[in-house]
Amino acid sequence: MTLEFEKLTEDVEQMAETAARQQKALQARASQTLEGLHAGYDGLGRSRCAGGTLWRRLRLKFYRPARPIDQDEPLNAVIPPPPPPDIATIIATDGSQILPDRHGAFMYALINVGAMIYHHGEDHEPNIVGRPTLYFPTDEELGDGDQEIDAGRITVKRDLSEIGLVADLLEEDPDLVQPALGLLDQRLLYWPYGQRRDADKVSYKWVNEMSRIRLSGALLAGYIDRPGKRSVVSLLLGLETPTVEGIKRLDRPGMDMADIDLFSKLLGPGERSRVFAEMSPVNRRFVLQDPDNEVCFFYFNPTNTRPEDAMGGSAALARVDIPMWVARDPVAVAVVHGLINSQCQILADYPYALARADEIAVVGRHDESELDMMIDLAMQRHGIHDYGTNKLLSKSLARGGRSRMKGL
Amino acid sequence: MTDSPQIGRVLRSSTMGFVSGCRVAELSLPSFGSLVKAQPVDEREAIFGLIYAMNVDDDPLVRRLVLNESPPEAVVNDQRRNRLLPIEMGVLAVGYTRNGQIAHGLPPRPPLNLDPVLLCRDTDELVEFTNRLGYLRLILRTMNSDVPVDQLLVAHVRQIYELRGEDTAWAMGVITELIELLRGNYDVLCAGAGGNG
Repeated sequence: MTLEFEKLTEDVEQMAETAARQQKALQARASQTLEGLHAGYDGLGRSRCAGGTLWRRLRLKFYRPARPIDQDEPLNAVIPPPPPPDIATIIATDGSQILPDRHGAFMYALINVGAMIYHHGEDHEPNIVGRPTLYFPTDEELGDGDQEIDAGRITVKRDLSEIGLVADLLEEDPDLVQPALGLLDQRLLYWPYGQRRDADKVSYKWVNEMSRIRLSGALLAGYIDRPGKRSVVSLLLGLETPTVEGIKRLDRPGMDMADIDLFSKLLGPGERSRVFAEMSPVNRRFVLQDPDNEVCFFYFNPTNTRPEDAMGGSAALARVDIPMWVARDPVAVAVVHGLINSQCQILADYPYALARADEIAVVGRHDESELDMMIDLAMQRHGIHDYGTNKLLSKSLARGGRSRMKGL
Repeated sequence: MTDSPQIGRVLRSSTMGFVSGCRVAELSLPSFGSLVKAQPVDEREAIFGLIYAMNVDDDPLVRRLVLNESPPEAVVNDQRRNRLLPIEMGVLAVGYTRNGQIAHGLPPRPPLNLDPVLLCRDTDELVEFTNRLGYLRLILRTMNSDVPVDQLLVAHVRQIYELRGEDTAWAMGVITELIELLRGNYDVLCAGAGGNG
C-alpha cells in the first residue's frame, strides 16, 4: 500500500508555515547578534579571555563558547581566499559501512574506506585507494561473547579508519609533493556518539592518528558542510549576559541560531572567518594528550553566493577544523584555505577530492547484494546453509517491485 | 596480415547483437561502422558484428563538472581514466565462425559477458568475411529499429573499401547488391549511394 499523501497535506502546509516563521525570527536574531560581532565587545582581548573565563566559571554542560586563538584579527574579520600553492598533494578520505543485520542470513559487518590522492597543480589523474575490511563475530575485538556485532563500534572503527588511512598514505610515501594536506569529511574534535564505555580509548586513538599526520609533516583539516556548531554565538551571548541564568535563557537548545547564520551574513565567495578554538571538555582532553592537537576552526563560504544573494537569508557555509599546529602558523592556514577553496571551485560548492573519496568508499545496495552472494557461496562450500529471517524475506517479497508483461 | 586489437569486452548480449564496453584509452581505434568480433577464450564461436551506436553516458558528477568553465586537467583525466563509466558500443550481429569457417547470419548463441571484443584488422579475415555479401541482408532487416541503416552502410562500405586496398570491384559489387536489395526503398538507397560518392 502506498503512503496516503492526501492525509498529510495539512501537516506539510503547517510545517512550511512554521519553518518560514522560525526562519524570519532567526534572521532577525542573527542580525542583532552580528552587531555584537562587529562591536567586538570592547576589544578582542576581552572576548578572548571572556570565552574561557565564562566556560570555566559557569561550567554549564551545554555552554561551549569559542575562543579567538590570537589577537591578530578582529572577531568579524573576513579573509579573502589566498592563491593556492603551485603544486601540492591532497589526500582526502571517506568511509562507508554495511552494518550488521540480525535478520540477515549471516552476521557480518563491512567497512570500506576510500581515498583520493589529488596532485594539485599537475595534469595527471589522481590516485585512488580503496580499503575494505570484513568483520564477523569470531573476531575477538567485536565478538563480545555472543553473535552480535556492535553497530556503534563499527561506526567508530570506520571513523578511525578514515583518519588512519590518511596517516598510512602519508607515511607510506615520504616523497609526496609538499605541502601535503590530509582532508577528512568530518569534524576533527572527535568523540563517539552515544554513551560508549570506550569513548576515552577511542578519543585517545583519534588524537594519536592526528599526531601521526603532524609527524609526517603534512597539514590536516576536517571539512563540515553546513555545521550546526554555535560556539561563536555562545561567546557573544555569554558576553551579553555573563550569568548562569542569562546563559541558560539565551543559550538553551531551543534557541537554535548557529554560527553559520551569523557568518553567512559576512562571508562572500571563497572567504573565511578568523580562526577560533572551541572551549569544551573534549578539546581539553585533546590538549592534555597533545597540545598541538587542540582543535580550532574557521568558517568558509565554498559557494559563489554573496551574502546579500543568499536564498532564505543564509549561504551554505562550511566549517573547516584544523589542529593547533596548523592554526598557529598563518602560512599553513593560508595553504589550507587556498587549497580547499581551489577544490570547491571545481564543483562550485564542495571539495572535489572529498566528493570522489565518498564515491570510492560508498557501498551501495547492489554491492551489498553481491557481497551477500559471495559470503553465501563460501558458506555453502563449508557446508553451512542459512537464510534470512522470515521477517526479512517477507519484506523483500512486499518491496520487490512489480513487473510488467512484455510481448504479446 | 595485421593483428586485431582488443577494444573492449561484452557487457550484455543477445543473438541479435551485443553491447561492448570500453575505456577511454581504447576509444581511438573503433568507429561507427567498424567490423568487430566477440572472441571467446574457449571453444565457442566468434561472433562478428558492426558497430552501429556509440554512447558516452553521464552522471550527476559529470553534469556538475560541465558547468565549470575550465575544470583542471587532473579532474578531466580522473573522470576519463579512474571513474567506472564505460563507453558503450552497440554491435549488430552479422555473422559467426563455424568449424573455422565464416558464416553470415545470426549466431546460434550470444557471446557471454566479458568476452573480449576485437576490432577486425586481419586483412585475410576481412576479405574472407566481406567477399560474400549475404550479411548485407542482416543490416537491411533492422530497417525499422534504432539502427541508422543508411549511415551504417555508408560508413561500413567506406571502411572496408579502404581496408581491402581500395578494392573498387568489391565496392561496385556491394552497390549492385544494394540496388537489388533496396529496389523498393529509394530513401535508403539514395542515402547510401550518395554517401558512398
